[in-house]
Amino acid sequence: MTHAFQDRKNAVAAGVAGAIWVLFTIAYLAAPLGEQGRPWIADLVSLASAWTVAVLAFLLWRSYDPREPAKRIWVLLLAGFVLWSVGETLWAYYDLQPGAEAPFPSIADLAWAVGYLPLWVALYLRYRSIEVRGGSALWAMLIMLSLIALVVVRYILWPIVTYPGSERLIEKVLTVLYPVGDLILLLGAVMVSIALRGGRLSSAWQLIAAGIAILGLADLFFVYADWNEIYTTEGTPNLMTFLADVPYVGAYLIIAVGEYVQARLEGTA
Amino acid sequence: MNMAQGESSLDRPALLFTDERGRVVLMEDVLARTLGFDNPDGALGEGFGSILGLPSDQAADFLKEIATKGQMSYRSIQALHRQSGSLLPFLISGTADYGGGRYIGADITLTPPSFSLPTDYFNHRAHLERMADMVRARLKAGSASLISGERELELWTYFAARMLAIYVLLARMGGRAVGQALDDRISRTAQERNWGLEMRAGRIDVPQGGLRPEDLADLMKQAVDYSIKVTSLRIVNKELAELDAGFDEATLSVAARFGMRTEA
Repeated sequence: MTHAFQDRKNAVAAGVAGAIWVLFTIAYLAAPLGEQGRPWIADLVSLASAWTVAVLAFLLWRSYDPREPAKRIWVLLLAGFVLWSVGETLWAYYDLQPGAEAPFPSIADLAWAVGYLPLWVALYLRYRSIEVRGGSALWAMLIMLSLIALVVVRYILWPIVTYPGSERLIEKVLTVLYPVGDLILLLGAVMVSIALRGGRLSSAWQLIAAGIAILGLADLFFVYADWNEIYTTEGTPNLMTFLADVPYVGAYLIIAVGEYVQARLEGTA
Repeated sequence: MNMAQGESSLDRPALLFTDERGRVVLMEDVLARTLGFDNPDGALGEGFGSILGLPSDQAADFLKEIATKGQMSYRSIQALHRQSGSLLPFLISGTADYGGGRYIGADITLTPPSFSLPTDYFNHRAHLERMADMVRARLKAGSASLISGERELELWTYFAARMLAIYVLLARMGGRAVGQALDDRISRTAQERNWGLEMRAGRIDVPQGGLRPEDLADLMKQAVDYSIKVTSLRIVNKELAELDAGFDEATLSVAARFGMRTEA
């Protein structure tokens, strides 16, 4: 992955993304605009990051010829990232209403949930197009992901699924969907990067996989904190809220850098 | 220890293509023999510094210069013969290859100390031309009895050089496993159709009984389609256009007539 940053513009893009993330973290913790300003900072930076990912996906999609399989793959990635960005926008709208609590589930959840579908299909198509089976590296990764999945299911999802009471069924479904959806995405992105390992194209997909992994981790923290009602939208954030919010922005930024590296390689950026 | 008697030596420049990390994706047969490899594919995947017996920091410096400046002019090195351990004096130079404008690998030339390269040699197009010469010489030496005339030899050279260029591009962009997937795909198709043709590390040998130009075009289409799926139309077209620049108009027009040169 580090080889990608020998390219000066890639290194600059990564540096800018890193600087934004550090500044965001400082602003999130220090709340320079006061406690009321913290949600604004968190939501607006999340929004900008998510839409950056969507715009870069659009530019990549546009750069391919209609006869190329990559065109289909990137239109699906574009659809997924746009839906997620819409979800972020709706969430920010609810979250920034004074005194109101964001409803759960809401139409933002619909956008996020539906967004997984084109992303899963896109990663599957990309993996299939390479026609390389991952061999021992893939099996090692599958075993590692399975172990992670087992731990997540046992300690985070199982207590939620088996929680007595059916009035929160839709909440349960969504709460389970996000981490499971992230895990499937991670699996797809990792399979693509393993199939391309050793090649120039792998760097971009490794970055995208890393971003998805961090996104999944942030989603897990959110799910855990939200279910246990320790996720705070107002006042000083506790540790779980910090772990859900700050890596979340970082994840989008890493995915954006991955897309930028891909665009540079294609000669479109 | 200097070169031992009986060891082959270079009497002209020889090419070695690497990926962005300096791992060999293609080495000329003559260079492989000179360095003591029984098989030119024996070096695939190994760092070029290691196969030349260079200190790792020196190889890393060379690669860094090629990657950052786009070119490295002559340096004097002493390469190590794989089997005898004798020292082989060379001049080493290199040029960066770009896919979509980004560095994807190094074209490294090893030159006998007495030889000087023309100034227009230092670009990827010239190296692809050199690679096509290598393919031509290989076909001439290994398949003379199977190829009936100059025109047929040139068509086979065009086909084999294109396949090799696609292989090198795929190995650089997608890694060795992707290059291997191309080999498997072409070999599998040929086997299914009883063509007796095999592709190994991008190299193709003329099968007994030859093949019709239409069959070559069919294999070529598969290779081009696959490389576009893995990389992109833009990158593949650029690479093939650079290779085409080294062939004469007559060959290109014959290739186009048989569908071996249709734009992807």
